[in-house]
Amino acid sequence: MLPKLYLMPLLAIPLAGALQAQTITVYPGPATIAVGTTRSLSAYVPLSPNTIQWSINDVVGGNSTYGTITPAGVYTAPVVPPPANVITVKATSTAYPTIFGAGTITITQLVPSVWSSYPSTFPAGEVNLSINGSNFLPTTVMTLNDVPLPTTYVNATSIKIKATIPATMVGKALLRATQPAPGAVKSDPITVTITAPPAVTVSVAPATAALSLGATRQFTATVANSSNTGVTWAVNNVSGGNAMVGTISAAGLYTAPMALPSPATVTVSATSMASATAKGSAVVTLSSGPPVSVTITPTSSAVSLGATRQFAATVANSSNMAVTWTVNGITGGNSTVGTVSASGLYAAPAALPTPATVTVRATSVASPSAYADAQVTLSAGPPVTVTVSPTAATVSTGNTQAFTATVTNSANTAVTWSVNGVAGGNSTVGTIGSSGLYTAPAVAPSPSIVTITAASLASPTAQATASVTIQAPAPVSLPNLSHARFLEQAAFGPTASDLQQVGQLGYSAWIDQQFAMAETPFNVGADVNVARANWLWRMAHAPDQLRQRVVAALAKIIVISANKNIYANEIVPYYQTLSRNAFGNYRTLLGEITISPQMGKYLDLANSTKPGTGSGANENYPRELLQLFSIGLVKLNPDGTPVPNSPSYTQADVAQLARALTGWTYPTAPGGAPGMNNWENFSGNMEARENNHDTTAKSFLGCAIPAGKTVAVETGLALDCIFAHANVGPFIALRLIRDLVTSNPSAAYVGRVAAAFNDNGQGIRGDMKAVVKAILLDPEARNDVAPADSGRLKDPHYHFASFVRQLNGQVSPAIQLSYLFDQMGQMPLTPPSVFAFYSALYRIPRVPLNGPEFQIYTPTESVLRANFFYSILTNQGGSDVSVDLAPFQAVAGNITSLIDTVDAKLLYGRMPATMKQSIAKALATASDNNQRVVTALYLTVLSGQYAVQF
Amino acid sequence: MNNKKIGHSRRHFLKAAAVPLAATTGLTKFGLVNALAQQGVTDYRALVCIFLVGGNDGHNTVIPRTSSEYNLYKTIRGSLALPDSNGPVLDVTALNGTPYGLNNGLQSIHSLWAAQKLAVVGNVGMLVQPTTRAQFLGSAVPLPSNLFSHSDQIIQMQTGTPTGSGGTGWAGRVADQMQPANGSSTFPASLSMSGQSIFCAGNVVQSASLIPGFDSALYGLNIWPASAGAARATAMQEIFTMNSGLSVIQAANQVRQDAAALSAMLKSAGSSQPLTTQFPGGTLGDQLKQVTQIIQLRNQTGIKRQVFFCSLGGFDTHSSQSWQQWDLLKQVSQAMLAFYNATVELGLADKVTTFTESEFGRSLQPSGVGSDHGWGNHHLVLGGAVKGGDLYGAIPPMALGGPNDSGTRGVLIPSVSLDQYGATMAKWFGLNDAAIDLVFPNLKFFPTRDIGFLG
Repeated sequence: MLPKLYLMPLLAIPLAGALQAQTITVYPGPATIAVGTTRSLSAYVPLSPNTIQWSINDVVGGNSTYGTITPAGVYTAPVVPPPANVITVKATSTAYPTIFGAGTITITQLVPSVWSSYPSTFPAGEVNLSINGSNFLPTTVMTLNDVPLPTTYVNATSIKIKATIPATMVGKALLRATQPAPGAVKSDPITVTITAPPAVTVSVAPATAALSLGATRQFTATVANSSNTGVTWAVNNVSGGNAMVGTISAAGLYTAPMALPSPATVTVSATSMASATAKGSAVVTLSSGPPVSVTITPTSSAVSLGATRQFAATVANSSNMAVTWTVNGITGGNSTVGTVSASGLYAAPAALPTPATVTVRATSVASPSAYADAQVTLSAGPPVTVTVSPTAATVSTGNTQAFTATVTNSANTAVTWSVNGVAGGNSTVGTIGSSGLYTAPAVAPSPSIVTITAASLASPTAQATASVTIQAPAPVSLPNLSHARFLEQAAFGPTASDLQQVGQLGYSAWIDQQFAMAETPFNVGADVNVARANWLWRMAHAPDQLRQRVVAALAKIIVISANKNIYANEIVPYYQTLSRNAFGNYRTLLGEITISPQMGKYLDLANSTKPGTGSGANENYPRELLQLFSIGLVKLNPDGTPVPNSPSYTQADVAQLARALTGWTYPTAPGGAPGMNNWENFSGNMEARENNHDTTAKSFLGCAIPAGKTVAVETGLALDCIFAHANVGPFIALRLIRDLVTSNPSAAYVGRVAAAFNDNGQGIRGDMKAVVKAILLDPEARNDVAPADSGRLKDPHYHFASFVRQLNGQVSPAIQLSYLFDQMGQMPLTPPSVFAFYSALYRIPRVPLNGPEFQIYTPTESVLRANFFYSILTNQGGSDVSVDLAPFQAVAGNITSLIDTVDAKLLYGRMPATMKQSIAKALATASDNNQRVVTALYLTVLSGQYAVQF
Repeated sequence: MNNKKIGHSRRHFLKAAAVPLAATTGLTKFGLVNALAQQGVTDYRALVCIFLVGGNDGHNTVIPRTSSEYNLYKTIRGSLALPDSNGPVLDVTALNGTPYGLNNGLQSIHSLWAAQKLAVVGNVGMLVQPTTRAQFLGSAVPLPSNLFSHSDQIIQMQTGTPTGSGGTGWAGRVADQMQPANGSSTFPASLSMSGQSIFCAGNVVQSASLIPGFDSALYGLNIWPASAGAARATAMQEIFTMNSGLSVIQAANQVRQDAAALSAMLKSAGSSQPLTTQFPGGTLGDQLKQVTQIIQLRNQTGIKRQVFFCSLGGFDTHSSQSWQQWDLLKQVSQAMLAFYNATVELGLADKVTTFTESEFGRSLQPSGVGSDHGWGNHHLVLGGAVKGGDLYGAIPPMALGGPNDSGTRGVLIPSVSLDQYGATMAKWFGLNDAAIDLVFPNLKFFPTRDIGFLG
């Protein structure tokens, strides 16, 4: 037997020594490994010499069935799991062959994943599902609530299911992929929704009948909502009936009794074999009556070869009017004497028979002894003709119109259909099927009138035409482009209600309304992940959109990151500060940020002290305050263009500013004693410690601060100095314009906004309301005809929020998808450094333009963004995020309407015609309307037109 | 003292005010330097960083083996001293005959030392300028901000700036300087296998990221029926190549075209060019396997110079260090060996240099069965171009409160600055002195620009 000494590695270390002196320990202990993968094993060998050899199930080096192991302990699992899939790995001392250590490894199949089921909501009963996932095998079995389903393997990422789902599973159910034993594993589940199956119903036709004694009547039972269409027949609830009330065959043929029962009314019923409660019935009234007789009209007729003649038969004295038709005694006739249909349509043969007169007979089904004859005299006849109905039609693009062709003077009524001379038509002029169903093209052709032709198959020169006018469908109403563009800049994209509001109020009044609107609270909470979710939610749903948009922009200028400030109370108050001051004064904002313990921690101003005391004057905050939050590295002209070779400050300025800002410490914890350098605490503002403050005179940026000032006074003077620098206006203007409007504003535009920063018209500098209005109301922002270098790539947050808003979607306040934004380079609240998620100065690779957001838009991020949107469009956002596709599904039958609706919602009518054509072609192959909707939205969402705000 | 290769002469440092602002500005124009830097690059070269997140304990990665230093080491390290129950110390000898020992977890690459492909660079860390213990204790020289803080030091070691400033990584800036060598290739020159990393971000070069094993496929193309997926792909191609007349839209579409090309290449790299070399499983093995696949695409992409970032976490060994560090180093060495073997198989061993970084080293004096945040650290460099089988930099004397100790616990003041470490690789990568000075603005404060482990 194997020693049961599977010590966990961490336990093994403290036990090293006497206890393990004679024991070899194999690491890792019991483990699982997927087929075909490799695991490095090691052994702790407290022996000398410490050489060992490895074996698998006692075979040195293992084998292909149970896996191989190298002398260095690298175990490679077999390609297929062995029937006994728990194997024993042994490390045996080569010096003391009786001493060994062992471990067990369970070999499993590769773990499959299930990504999606299409459809994901379906009724119980027979369903066909398409499953996407990974690591599928031909032996993979899909399960629903762990019940196996009939599974057809397509490929490693695709499986089809055709199954009958029992009604007991109605509700939410878990769909998994399972790999069979040995090595059985199963995927994480996805949730599908099973709706109640519709009830089985049975209807019987005809619903009533009147029959003579001894007569028969065929009844038909139609079973709905079950694949089992079988029924059992009964008369007056007697299965199969009896001689008293009449009998009924298994096929529904009722035969009236020979004597009248009492009462003379009986009920014929059919009960579904699938559902005993599903029953349909018919009432039969029996009567004794005169003998059945048949008459036929006309009784004689002359018919041309290849032509047809309709005969009618009337049955008297029986409620069963059915007759059978024969020609010269042959049921249905034949090609020599002509054919007759069940409805009495006689079709003459192609050649004259001998004799040239034939007899058409109608015989009562109820009473086969009753019949009537008509004599038909055949002769060579008139030419075949074709007519088409309707002869003119107007069809919307993508819609259908049924045409009927009538062929006369030929028994062969088949025709071939063509559009503008093309058999079956094509995607340009529309297509037509063999039944005459015409489908208009997705885009109206030029000219917009096409000709449908039906030609007799028997006589192709016999043709008829119809004229079709193809028109665009009822136009999709477009939003006001100007208002939509405005809301892309002033909000995280438009919603229907925002568009309406802007339309009612106009830009300026709407902005004023936003200025006055209460701040959406951003509570500190306990967990930074909750704050991250809140941020994603508020971008999509907060009513004070303009404030949120400005906060997001300011958070890219004045930066704190949750990668250092990892608790909610170290980061959320910073957002509160940005929110509170978004429409205030920039000087106030700088002041509040400077003495906030959140920034104090992030850039180390907390406990920055005069030289020679404590840690000394920390330059981190002073440097970024100048470089990133206020004036930047180089002197700027009033229009934001750099002055060549003119640094805006020197290291000496930073050092002086650092001394000026010394003396701040964390707020004293509630109930605690104030210290000279308090420990981290984030309740309230930082506190001044005059003893830590450098009171010498300072000089920087051309300002002079006299000696002897207090911490608070000097900080105020220092910020006043920075705030007064001529760079601040153009510096802030350029960054806000790049985030709100366009990456490449003209210098004049920057200059106009900078001027508003410098003076709001009432002599006040730094008024953010004036700045925001100047940005949003500038002619360059309001120019709806995009110049060639206009636009800004949407960053992941904005792209997501605007997508949800445009599609009337929902973001959960508890959304747990922050990690996806991490992969896309924009973890909420967590820029990688004080330089934010990307630099406002970043230039688009290989393009002579600025494009800050391109810094985090490489191929991988672009794919992750596309896949994220795709998962939302295909309803995989779960409770985290969803969008409303109903408006698109409502028009999905018409390709043009669908594309125009997508254009209206996402691009406000700016989708280029060529792009519409490309999408229309893709829609032609979609399997159903739902896939059409996803395709149209997906292609649009991935387009550059949608990736860019312009 | 085991210092070698690096002189101790300390130039009087320049006043900090003299640091040119241009070095950290995004407005710097690189055209002129580029033109000077790369003439006639024809070969392929790659730098591959393995960042050991958490602060790898260098004191137990490379240990002294002269008897006097080893005895001091054993006394000070106490419960953490090697060898421990994980196995014997792996003996190596520097070219001057000084013996050292490697952690048993480095077994996989032990033989590459004797093969002279593996070198150790001792006591590397972030510095503003050469710093002595006296200067440190007297606050007489500028120092990196927030020493011993994970978040700050991770950023500093990746940006190559002692304040974590600048918003670009040193590898990204190295790639910036060599971008002209990549000609018209649009393939990413700077790639992280471990999420978006500032290490890879340049002023010009984007920090591209790949997810190991993910072929960047668009989920929306994998639908039923297949014809509908193909129709979507066709429409996309038309939409992404359509001329919108707007440059920013064109640029966004270009990224999607690049993504389609990248995905196709990743798919082909995964299947059409199988290597004999097997990679170990696990996060680092997967990352280096993906790096190998990208390198295999070099002829298709036309790219000549690439930098890569990989990382492995778990090195913050405040407790349970012995087994934890051994296990992590085992993963590191197995992955490094497989990667090196793959470059041999591709005939590129001397064109690819792999090196470790970590935010900081750890205290020599243990804290229980772990160690605390440190500063200077010993690092591994591997590749055919490495002058291996030798130790560069220094393994400082084993002493608490010794000449290299920033305090009393054996927290090393670095002997080699990150600037020197990176500049040595940048030079091999093809940068001239002017370009290197732009990447590493503080290099000029150090007497040796190239510490010699590549040639």
